[in-house]
Amino acid sequence: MRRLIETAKKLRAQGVLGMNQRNVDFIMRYNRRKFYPRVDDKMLTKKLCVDAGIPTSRLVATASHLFELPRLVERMHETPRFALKPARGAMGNGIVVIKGRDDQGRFVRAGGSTMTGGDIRYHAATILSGLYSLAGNADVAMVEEMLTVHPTLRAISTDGVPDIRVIVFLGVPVMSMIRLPTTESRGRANLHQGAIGAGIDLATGLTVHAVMRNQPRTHHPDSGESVIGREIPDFARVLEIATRAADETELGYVGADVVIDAELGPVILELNARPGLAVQIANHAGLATRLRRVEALRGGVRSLDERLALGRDIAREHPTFSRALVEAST
Amino acid sequence: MTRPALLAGSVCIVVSALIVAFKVVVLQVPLVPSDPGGLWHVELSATLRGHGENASIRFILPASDHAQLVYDEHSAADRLAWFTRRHETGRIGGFQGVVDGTHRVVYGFRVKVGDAGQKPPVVKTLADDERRLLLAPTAAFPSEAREVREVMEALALPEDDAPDVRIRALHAFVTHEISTTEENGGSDALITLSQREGGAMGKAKALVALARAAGIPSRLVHGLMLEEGKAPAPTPFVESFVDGHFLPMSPIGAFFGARPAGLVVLYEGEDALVATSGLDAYDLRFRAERQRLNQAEVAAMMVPASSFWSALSLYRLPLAAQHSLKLLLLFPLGALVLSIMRNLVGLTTFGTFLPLLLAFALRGSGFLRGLTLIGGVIFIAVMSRIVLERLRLLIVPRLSVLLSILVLLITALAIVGGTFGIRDFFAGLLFPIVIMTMLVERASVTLVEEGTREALRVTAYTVVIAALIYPVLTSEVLGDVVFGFPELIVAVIGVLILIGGYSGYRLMELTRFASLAEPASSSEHAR
Repeated sequence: MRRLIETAKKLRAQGVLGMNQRNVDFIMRYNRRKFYPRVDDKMLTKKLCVDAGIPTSRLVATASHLFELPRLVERMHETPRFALKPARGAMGNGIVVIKGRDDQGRFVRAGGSTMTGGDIRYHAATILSGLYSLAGNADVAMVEEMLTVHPTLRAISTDGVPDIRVIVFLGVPVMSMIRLPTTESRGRANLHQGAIGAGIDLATGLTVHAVMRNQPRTHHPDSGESVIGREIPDFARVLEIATRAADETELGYVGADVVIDAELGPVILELNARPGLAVQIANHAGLATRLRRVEALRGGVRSLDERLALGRDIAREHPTFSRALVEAST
Repeated sequence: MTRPALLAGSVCIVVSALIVAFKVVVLQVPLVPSDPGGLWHVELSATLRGHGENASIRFILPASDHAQLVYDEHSAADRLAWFTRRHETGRIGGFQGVVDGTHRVVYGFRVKVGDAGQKPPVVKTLADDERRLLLAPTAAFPSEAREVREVMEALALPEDDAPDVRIRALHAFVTHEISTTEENGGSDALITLSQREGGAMGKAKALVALARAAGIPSRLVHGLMLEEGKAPAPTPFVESFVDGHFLPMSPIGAFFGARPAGLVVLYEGEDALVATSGLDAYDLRFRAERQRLNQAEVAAMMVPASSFWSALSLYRLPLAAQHSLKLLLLFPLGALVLSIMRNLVGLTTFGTFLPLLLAFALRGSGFLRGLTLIGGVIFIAVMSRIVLERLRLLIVPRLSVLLSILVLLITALAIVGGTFGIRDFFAGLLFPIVIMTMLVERASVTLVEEGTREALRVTAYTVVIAALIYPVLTSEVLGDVVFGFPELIVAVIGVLILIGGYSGYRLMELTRFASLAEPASSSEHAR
C-alpha cells in the first residue's frame, strides 16, 4: 500500500495524466458534447477538413444502404489499394485494409489473408448494421484510397501504414507519437495489438523513446532498424494540419491522427475526442504538466504560428531524458 | 474534483446519514429486523391404541416463567376431544374419547426461551406448606432412606455451613462421584446411590433426596433441551431453594445456577409426563423447530411508531412488492461496487452494466455453478456465431437467430438444471438474455478484432467484478438495511458523485505507468 502511494506521488510529480483526470479535467471541461459528431463520424470529419482545405485521404465511395453495396464493391474492385472502414467505428475496429490482389483475383489484406468479393461485401453489410459503431446504430461504410508509406519510414513499418498521433490542447500541439506497425500487430498501427509507439520531440521532429507492449524498445522487431532518433519527414506540416483540424472541430482536447503519404504528404486520417494515454508511455513523459502550461497561458487568441511555436517551446521546457541520448549518439 | 460535485456528494451523504440517525436514535427503528433467537415451535405428538373404550391421555402443560414465554398453544386430534383444566401445580391438558384402533393426537406451542445465564428471580421466603412439601421424603425422593443417610454421613457436611455451600457439595458429589450412564440408565434415586451410577433422571432424583435430607427444599424439574438440527432431548434437573431463590442445577454437570439457552421447562414434580386411562398402548414423540419471525411481526418491529414515518415504511407494502423492492434497492449498491472497480481500480468490462446483470443472473444458482453454466452458454453461442458468420446474414435476423440459439441452450439447461436442482437460476437469466445476445456479438468482435488475449482479459475482469457484486446482491443483511432505510440510496448517490469527481489515478494505472515514475536510464534501452 505504501509503495502504491509512493508510485502515485512520483507519477503526480512527473505530471502523468490518469484516465480519471483526463475525463474530469480535460474532456468534460473542454470538449462540448455537441461537437463530438465532428470527430466520431469520419464522414463529417472529412467534410470539415475538405471545407477548410486540410488534406485528407481520398474518398473512393461510400454506402449507407444495403442497395448501395453492389456499387461499393464495384468501386473496390476498381481500386487497387484501399481501406474499407465504418464511419463511426471505435478504436480502429471494423477497418479492412486491402493492399492488392492475389493471382485468383481475391483481395489481399494487410497482414496477408485474403477475402473474396462476397466476403468484403458481407463485411460492408456488417458495417452498415452498426456492429462496429460507437453506439451500435446504423453506420456508413466508406472506402478510402490506401495511403502509401513514406520512403523514410518504410524500414520501420511492417505491412502497414504508420500514423502519427498529435495531442492538440486549446489549439496548441502538446505531445506526439508515431505508431509503427509490426508483424505482431498484423500491419495495424494499434499499440494494443503490438505496434511500436515512438515518442516524437515536438521541437526537433526526432523520435526520442519507443515502447512495444509497454516495454522500452530501441529497434524495430522485424527489420532490426533503430526506431530512436529517426527524423519524421515534414513534421512541421504534420503539426500544422493536426492543429488546424483540431481548430475546425471546436473541441478543446483532441487527438489528431496524421499519415504521411509518399505522394500527398501529411494528411488527416481521423480525429479523436477521447485520445488515449499511451502517448505518455511512448514519450516517457507526462501530459498533465504540458496541459497545465497551456491552460495557464490561455487568454488572448493567438495566431496558428504562435501556437505551434508555443507547443515547441513547451516541449523544450520539459525535455525527456532521451534527447540527450539522441544528441550523444548523433 | 469540482467544488459543486464535492458539495453535492457530501450533502447527499450527510442528509442520508441524518435521516438514518433520526430513525435509529429517535424513532428507535432497529437497523435490521433482529432474529430474536430462542424462538421455537414445540410439538408433542402421541399415537394411541385402544379397543373401543372411553380413554384419555393427559399431561401437565408448560407455563411461562422468568426465562420462558409460552404462547400460541394448539392441539389437533383424530376423533378425540381436547380438554384443559386447572391443577394444583398449573394446568393439565389432554385428549379424551372413545379410542378404537390407533389415533394420533398432537399438542403444540410456541415458546420464547430466554438467553443463557438468566438468574432466577428472588422469592424471599417460601410458604410453610410449600416448604414442607419440598422437604418431605417421598417414594421418588426417599430422603430418609438408609442409602441417603450413609452418603450424608460419608460426606460429613459441617452443620454450620451455609445452604449454598452444602448444595454445591451435594451437587459436586452427584455430578462427579456418581457416573452417568446412557439415556436408559437407572432412574431410581436409591439404586443410583447404591450403584454409584445412573441416568440423568436417577441422578436428579438422588440429588433431590440428598438435598432434602440436608434440609434444603428441592424439587425435580422436567425440561426439554432444544437444539437446531437435533431431536429435543428430555433433560431432568433439580431446583433447590437457596438464599431466596430456586437455584437450577444439572445432575450431570451441564449447568449450575442458571438455565442454559434452549432449555424449556415442561413441568415439575415426581409424576410421569403423561397419565393415561383406558388405553392399550401409546407412543410419545417430541418435535421442535426453530422459528423465525413472520412478516407481520417483522413489520411490527420495523415500522416506526410515528404516523408520518410509518406511512413511509416499505414494510407496509404487500409482501410480493416487498420482495422485488428489496432486490431493486440493492442494485445501486451493486452499481457502486461497479463504479469503484471501473473508476478507482480501472478494470475494463464488456458492456457497462453487464457485471451487475451477471451477478443478478447468478443469484438463483449459486456463483460458481451459475458461472459455469453461463460460461458454457456464451462459449457455445460464440462458436455458433462464428459458424453463423459464414451464412452472411443481415444483422437483425442474425442476432435473432443467435437469441433463439441462446433460448434453446437455456431450455436445454433447464432440463439439465432440473436434475441438478437449480430452479431459480432461469428466472434470473430470462431478463438479461437479450443483453447476453449483444454480449456474444461484442465478445465475438473483440475476439476477432483485438485477439483472444484481450477478449480473455476483458472477460476475466467482467467476471471478477460480477463476483464482487454477487455477495452484495445476495446479502440478506444489506437487503434488510436498505429496505428499512431506503434513504441510504441517497448516500450511495453521494458516494457515486464523489467517485465521479475523482480525478486521481486508477489503481491499474499505477502499474501501467509505473515506468514513468522513474526517469528512464539508457540501460533500459538495451534491446
